Amino acid sequence: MSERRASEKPGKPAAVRVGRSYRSGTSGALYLFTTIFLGIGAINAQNNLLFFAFGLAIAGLVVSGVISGSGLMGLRIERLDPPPGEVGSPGVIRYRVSNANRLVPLMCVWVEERAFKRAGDVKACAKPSPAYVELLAPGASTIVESFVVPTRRGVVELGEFRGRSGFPFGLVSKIVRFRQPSEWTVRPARLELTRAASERIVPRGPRGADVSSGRGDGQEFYGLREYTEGDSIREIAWKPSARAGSLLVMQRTSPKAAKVKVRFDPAGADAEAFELGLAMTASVLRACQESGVRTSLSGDDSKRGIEGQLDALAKATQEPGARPSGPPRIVIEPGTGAGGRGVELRLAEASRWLAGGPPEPGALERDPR
Amino acid sequence: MNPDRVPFLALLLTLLSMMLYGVADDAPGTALAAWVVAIGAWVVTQQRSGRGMPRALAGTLILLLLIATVFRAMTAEVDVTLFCQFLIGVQLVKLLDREKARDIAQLLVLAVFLAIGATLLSPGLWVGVLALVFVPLMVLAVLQFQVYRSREAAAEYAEEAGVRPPPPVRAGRFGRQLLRVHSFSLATGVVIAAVVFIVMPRGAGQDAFGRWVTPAAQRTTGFNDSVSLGGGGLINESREVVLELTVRDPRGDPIGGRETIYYLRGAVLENYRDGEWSTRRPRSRTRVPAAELGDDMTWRFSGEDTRNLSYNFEITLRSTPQNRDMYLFTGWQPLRITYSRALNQVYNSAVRTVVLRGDGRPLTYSVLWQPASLFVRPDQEDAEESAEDRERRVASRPSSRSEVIAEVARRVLDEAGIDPDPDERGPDEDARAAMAIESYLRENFGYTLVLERPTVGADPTEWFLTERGIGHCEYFASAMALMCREVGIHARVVTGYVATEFSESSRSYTVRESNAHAWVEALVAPSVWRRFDPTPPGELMAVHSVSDTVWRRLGRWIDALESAWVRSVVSYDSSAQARLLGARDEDNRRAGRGDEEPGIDVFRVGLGVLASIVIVAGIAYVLWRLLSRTAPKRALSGFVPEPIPEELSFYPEMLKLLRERGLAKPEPTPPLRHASVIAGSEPEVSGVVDEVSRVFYRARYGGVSLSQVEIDGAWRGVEKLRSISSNVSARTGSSPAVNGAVSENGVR
Repeated sequence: MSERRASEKPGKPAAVRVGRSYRSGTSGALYLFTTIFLGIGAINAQNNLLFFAFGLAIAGLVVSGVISGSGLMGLRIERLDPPPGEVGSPGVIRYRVSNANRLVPLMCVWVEERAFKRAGDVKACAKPSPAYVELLAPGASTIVESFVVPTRRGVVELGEFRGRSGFPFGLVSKIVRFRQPSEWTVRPARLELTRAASERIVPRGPRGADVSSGRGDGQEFYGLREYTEGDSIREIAWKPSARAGSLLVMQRTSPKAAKVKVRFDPAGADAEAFELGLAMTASVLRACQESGVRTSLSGDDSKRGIEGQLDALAKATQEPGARPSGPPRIVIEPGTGAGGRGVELRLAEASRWLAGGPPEPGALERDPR
Repeated sequence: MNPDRVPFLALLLTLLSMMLYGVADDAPGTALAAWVVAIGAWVVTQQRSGRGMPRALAGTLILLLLIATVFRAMTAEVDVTLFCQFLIGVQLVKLLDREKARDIAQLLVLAVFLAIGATLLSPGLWVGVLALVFVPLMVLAVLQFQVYRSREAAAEYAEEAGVRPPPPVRAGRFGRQLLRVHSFSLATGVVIAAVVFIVMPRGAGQDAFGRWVTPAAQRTTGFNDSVSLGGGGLINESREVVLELTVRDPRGDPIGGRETIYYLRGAVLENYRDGEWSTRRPRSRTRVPAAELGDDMTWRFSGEDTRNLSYNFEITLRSTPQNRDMYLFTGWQPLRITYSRALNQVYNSAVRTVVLRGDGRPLTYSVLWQPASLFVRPDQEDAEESAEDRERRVASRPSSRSEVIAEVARRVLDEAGIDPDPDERGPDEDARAAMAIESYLRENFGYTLVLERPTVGADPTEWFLTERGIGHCEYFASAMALMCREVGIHARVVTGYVATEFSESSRSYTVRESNAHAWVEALVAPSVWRRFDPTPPGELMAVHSVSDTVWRRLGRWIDALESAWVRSVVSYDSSAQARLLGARDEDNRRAGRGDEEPGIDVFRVGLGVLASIVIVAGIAYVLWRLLSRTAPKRALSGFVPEPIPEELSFYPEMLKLLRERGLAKPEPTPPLRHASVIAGSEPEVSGVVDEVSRVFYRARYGGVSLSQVEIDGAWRGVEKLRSISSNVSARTGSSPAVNGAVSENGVR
């Protein structure tokens, strides 16, 4: 997947520092207690080594503040476009972490999202595993990954995230907060279809009769173009090259794959059945893609292929008061280049189509633990 | 510097803290036993990935330790020793259970607390030296522990998410950065600690929370304020330093030498009974509370010197007993004593002794004294005798207490041609008589440190004079004093120290417990007391002299170090603080008397602190620059190249290897062109450079993120380049540093 700097992408908001805070834990309290104890001990015993130790303890606080403070002042974090996630599978959110300091290295920095919420302030993910940067030398940058398991389908709003570090002494956890509004699409859960279901949804009959108008790795001639570094020598069209006086390579058409049209008809399904239907539809689309069958989804006009279709499923909402036109089902109709008849998968027979059986009640739309 | 070695650092610090305790509490046996158990526990648990005894058992053992400690605290005195011993017990249990990062943290905390406890027990040189090792090591351990703990947490998070944990940073890169942070932390910490040490007010709040440390009995000096003859055994030859002495002549110049010895007078013993000398309860005793010492912190005895022939002893006592009385050591005869800080004092003007109430801290004072002349001056012969001296003289008339001693004394004087009868003898002959007795003892008796019990019922001094014939200084002093008394010369035994160990470098004497000595003062004319030392001088010098062996010289060097430590660190008090910070004299005196806090010149202190901060910042900056090999250079034209991300670090690594191989890429030359340039001479290297550069270009300028396979491929190329270089190095025998780097950075 291509990764670009958020600031380079027009319209995408950059990460903005919104503040910093400190959080003290048990170790900080213990250190403070020890420092006070040392001070009292030094005064009480008039022991000069203890006075020195007291000075060292105070120095520890100062040095800790200086190193972590200046380190985090130079901390820059930017959330990269998160690839779509799937309910129940670990999703990855990447951050570009840079150290703008010229002298102070950053060590042991944790990057974590503050909240994963869907529209309506609904928590949508389990507790994430934060991204970890062990060392970032002055002026260096790196990309780190945080993992999170979504528990609800939909578009998750990502707002604030933070970098925190207890380095150098772990006395106080210093936190720098960033705001970078973005969205994370969580697609329906990936359900494994049974072999019978897979066989049914892949269209039968003659395939490959059509060719597309685009370039590809098929057999048909598409056109010629200038040779560029990296092209295979086998692709050089020698005769046209000789005529043109420069190297030309041959381009070929791509074969047009079979296409099916998938339609999910909720037909008055309750919320849970609706989610199950979406998950099954997504699984059908994925299974088709894996079998080399192109798909279109009823209701999706994004023209982004399966990615757009899965995103559409992620954002799908159940229309209230829709009149049932039969039992909830998924209809797969053969399209261009596909032979055979249409197929219908009824949700009521989910246990027949899903390898592991239908998910537990509430598993597809639940509160994160 | 490898964070994975933090557990080993924790063991090291645990052992070091145990050693600190052993040194501070003079308990080497305890420390050694703890070491053995600790190392054993480490070896056992090391083979089981930190798992030792079950958690429940460890908890139970710690609970039992706590109960035992509370029980001991209830039955005995609560003090720091008890606390330290409890900590050692917990350390040993924790060493048997150190599975997780939290356990390592607990071990580090326990080590810190034990070190604090040891510091409370003793501020001595060796505690200081060990602390100097302990502190940097602890800072390093804490820094590395943060990474160690974070790695553990990252691994746990990754396990929860079902993904691979992030790879650790290579030790070499990590070490360089950590070294910078460590150096900065330490340098800044030491300076801040030094500033706090210097400006923190002293003298106020002592024992406000009770006494935490019971003074160790073995730290008393070899000096005694009584003499008990007739015991068996061997005299203690302790090398413990008691005080440092600088002698100044009337012009104020330091004097002394290896052949010159000085007597430091402590207690004066006048009562003798059955082999025991003790002090007489003084009549003319003056109590001087600390607050009444006067503005110049000086006590003056009567008879102030007017002829400017007085010498000065500048004495630094290593310690004073806490809340117990002690004799102050002076010269004979003392005229004036000036203290660095005031303590409660009792002056006995008759015998010119001073008793102080100690406070457990070192004390510096100076004594102005005037040596008694060898011969009695005519004006002294006719001087009016004080009432007290007259009483003493009468009391010391021959009383036939010991016919044996009287017989020996009379014989000695007869042989010297001096009339033993005091009424027949002229007053000017008392000094000659005392000298005759001194000479007799010096010439006819031997010196030994081996003690032997006298025959049952015999007076020890009689036994020494008539049977034994050899003894230590107390026998000689006792014999001379009693012999003088038997011939009508009042004499008394004086205990104190002889200063013999002179250091040319510091122009001062070091006085040890083994320098404890006893001698005699005899009243040779009205109010004229003169010192006599009947111990054979050759023997005395042999016992107290300093040999010049290598070990002795090393010992003297260590003593000088210890002396400097005591003077500069341990003895740093409100007076020294006032001198350093420029507090006004009256404030200093008030501070010394404990009236109120010392007033400090805020302006000067502020300037000092500011200067310190500037110096620290400068040092830290220079240090940082020296160590910052990886810090990017400042751009000259405002163009700042975008930093190379971590995942593309194979490219700079490749450039580094090219530099090491002498094929450095010129800055303006693109890497592919450089590859083609070197292709003629180094085709293999050129191939690798070409391959790695193309991968780098794809990610850097192609806007694509590399797959792990591609990154691994690039690293394989770098490793290939490294192996080519190391093969050449092996053939040409080049520096092993390059080969070392292979094993360190070879895995990616």
